[in-house]
Amino acid sequence: MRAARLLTLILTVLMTATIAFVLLRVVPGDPAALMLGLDAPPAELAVLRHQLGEDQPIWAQYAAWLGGLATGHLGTSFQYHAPVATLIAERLPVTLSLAAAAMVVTVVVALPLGLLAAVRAWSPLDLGVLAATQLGLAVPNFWLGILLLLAFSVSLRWFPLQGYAPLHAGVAAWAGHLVLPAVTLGAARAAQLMRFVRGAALEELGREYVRTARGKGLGGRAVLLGHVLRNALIPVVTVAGLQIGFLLGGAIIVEQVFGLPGIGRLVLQGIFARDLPVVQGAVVVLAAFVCVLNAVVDLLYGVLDPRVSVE
Amino acid sequence: MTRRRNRALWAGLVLLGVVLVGVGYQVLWGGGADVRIAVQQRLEPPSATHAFGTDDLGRDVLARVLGGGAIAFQVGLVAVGIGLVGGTFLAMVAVRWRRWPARILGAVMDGLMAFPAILLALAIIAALGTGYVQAMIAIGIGLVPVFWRQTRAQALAVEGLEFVLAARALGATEARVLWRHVLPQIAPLLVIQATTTFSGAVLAEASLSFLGVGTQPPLPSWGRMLLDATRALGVAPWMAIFPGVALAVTVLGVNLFGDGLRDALDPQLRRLTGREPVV
Repeated sequence: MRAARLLTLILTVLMTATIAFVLLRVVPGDPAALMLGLDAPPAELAVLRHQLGEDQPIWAQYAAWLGGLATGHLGTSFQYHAPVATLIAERLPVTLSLAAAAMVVTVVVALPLGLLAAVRAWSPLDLGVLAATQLGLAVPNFWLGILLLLAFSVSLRWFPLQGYAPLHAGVAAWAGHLVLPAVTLGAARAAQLMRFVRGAALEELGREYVRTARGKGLGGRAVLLGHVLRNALIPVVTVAGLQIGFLLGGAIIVEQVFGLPGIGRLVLQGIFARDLPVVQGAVVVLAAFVCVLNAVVDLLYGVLDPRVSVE
Repeated sequence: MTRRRNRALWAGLVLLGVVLVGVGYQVLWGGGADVRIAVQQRLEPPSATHAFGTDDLGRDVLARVLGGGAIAFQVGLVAVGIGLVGGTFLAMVAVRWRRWPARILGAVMDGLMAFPAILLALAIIAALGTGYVQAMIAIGIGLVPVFWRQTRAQALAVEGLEFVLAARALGATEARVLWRHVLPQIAPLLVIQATTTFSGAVLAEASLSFLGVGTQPPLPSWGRMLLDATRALGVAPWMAIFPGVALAVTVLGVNLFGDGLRDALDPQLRRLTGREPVV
C-alpha cells in the first residue's frame, strides 16, 4: 500500500510539473517575447529564446524541463540572473515558518473549542462558536490581517508593522514578526477545523463505547480525552491535512499584507517582471510540497487508525 | 422543514439583498464603476456627503465599494459558469468514454487539484497577463476540477439506476441518456455546488486584486481597494474597513444562502451541516 501511495505521489508531482510547463511555456506562445515585451530587439529575443531552449522542439524542451526538475535545476531567473532554485531556497523558510505557525494556531484554537462546543452542544457557548466559525470563514484573510495591523501595530504598537526576522536573529524577534501573520492565516482554517472537530466529536459522543466508558464510572474528562478525542482525531487529521494546501496558498497572500519576503512575493515579482522561470519554479516547488505533505498525512492516518493499514 | 426554521436561507437572502440593492443602484443611477476623482477632497473621513469617506484620490468610497460589488459579482458569475460548464461537460465525457479519455482526464484533474487554488490562478495569470478578465478565466479554470469531481461521482451513481437502464433498453443513445436522464437528476447538487463555489470565486477575485494581478485601476475592486488602503493605514482607516465589510457580508450571505439551499433541496445532507443535534 505504501508503494502504491509513493507511485501516486510521483505521478501527481509529475502531472503538476507538466501543467506548469504547459501553462508557462506553451500557453504564452512565445515566452521570450512575453518576457522581453513587444518592442524588444530581435537579437536579444534570439538570445533569450536560446537560453530558454525555445529553439528546440517542444518534446525536447519538456524532457529538459523534467530532467532539470529531477536534478534540482529550475532554470535561471531573468530578473535576478541567479538560479531559480537558489532564489526559492532563500525564501522557502519564510513561507514554511508562516504556514507552520498558522497550523499551530489552527490546531490550538480549533481542538479545545471544537470539543467544548460538542460537549455543550446547543448551549450559548456552542452557538457562539458556531457563529464565530461562520464569521471566520467569511472574513478574507488579507482583510483580517489589515484589521489586526490597524489594531495591534498602528494603534497599540505591540507588533512590528512590516517585515521578517530570521530565526538566527533571535527567537523573540522571529516570533514577534510571525504572531500577527500566523493568526491571520490560521483564523479561517481554525474556523473550518473547529466546525469539523465539533461534528466529529458529537458523532463519537453518541456511540455505545462512550456509554460503556461512562457506565464503568469514568469521569467526563477521561471519556473525552481518552476515548472521544482519540476517535474523533481520525477524520480531523484528514481535514487538517487538507488545510496544508490552503495554508501554503494563503501564505502567498498573507506575506503581502505583512511584507514577508517569502515565496509569494517571489511569485508576484516574477509575474510583474514577466520572469517566467521564477514563476514556473516556485509554482512547481510549492505544489510538490503540498503533494508530499498530503502523502505524509495519508500515512499518519494509518498510524492513528490501525484499521486502515490492515487493509 | 418549515420555512420558519430555514433561518440560514433567509439570513443569507437578506444579506445578499442588501448588497445587491446597493450594487444595482450604483450600476443603474450612480455611474457604475466610474467614480469621479477629486483630489481637493482626498482622505476625508466619513461624513454626511461621503458616508464611507473618500480615498487617497478623493473618490467616494461608498460609490467605489458598490461599483466594486458589480465587478465582484460579474467575476464570480462568469468564473462559476466556466467551472460549471467545463467541469460538467468533461465529467460527462469521462462517464461516456470510461477507458482512456476518463483516465487522462482523471490524471489532469488530479494534477490541477494538487495546486493550491490561488497558486494555480497566479500561474494562469502569469501566462495570460493581469486584469479582471484574466482573473475570471484563471478562477474558472481552477473550479473545473471541483465540478468535474462531484458531477462525475454523482453521474456514475445515477447511471446505474433502473430508469437509466430502462431508457437504454428503449434504445436511447448514450448522449441522450446522459443529457435527458442523468443530468437532470444531479442538477440540484450542481446548483448547491455553484452557490458554495460562488463565494470562493468572489474571495479569489478580491485576493488576486489585493495581490495587484486581478482587476486593474481605475476599475474598482474590493481587493484592490484594500491594497490601496494598506498604504494609508494610519491616516484613513475607513479605506480599510468598508471594502472588507462589503466582501465579508457578501461571502457570509452566499455561504448562509448555500447552507439553507442545501437544507431545502436535499434534507438528507442536513445532518452533515451540523445544524441538527446528532446526539
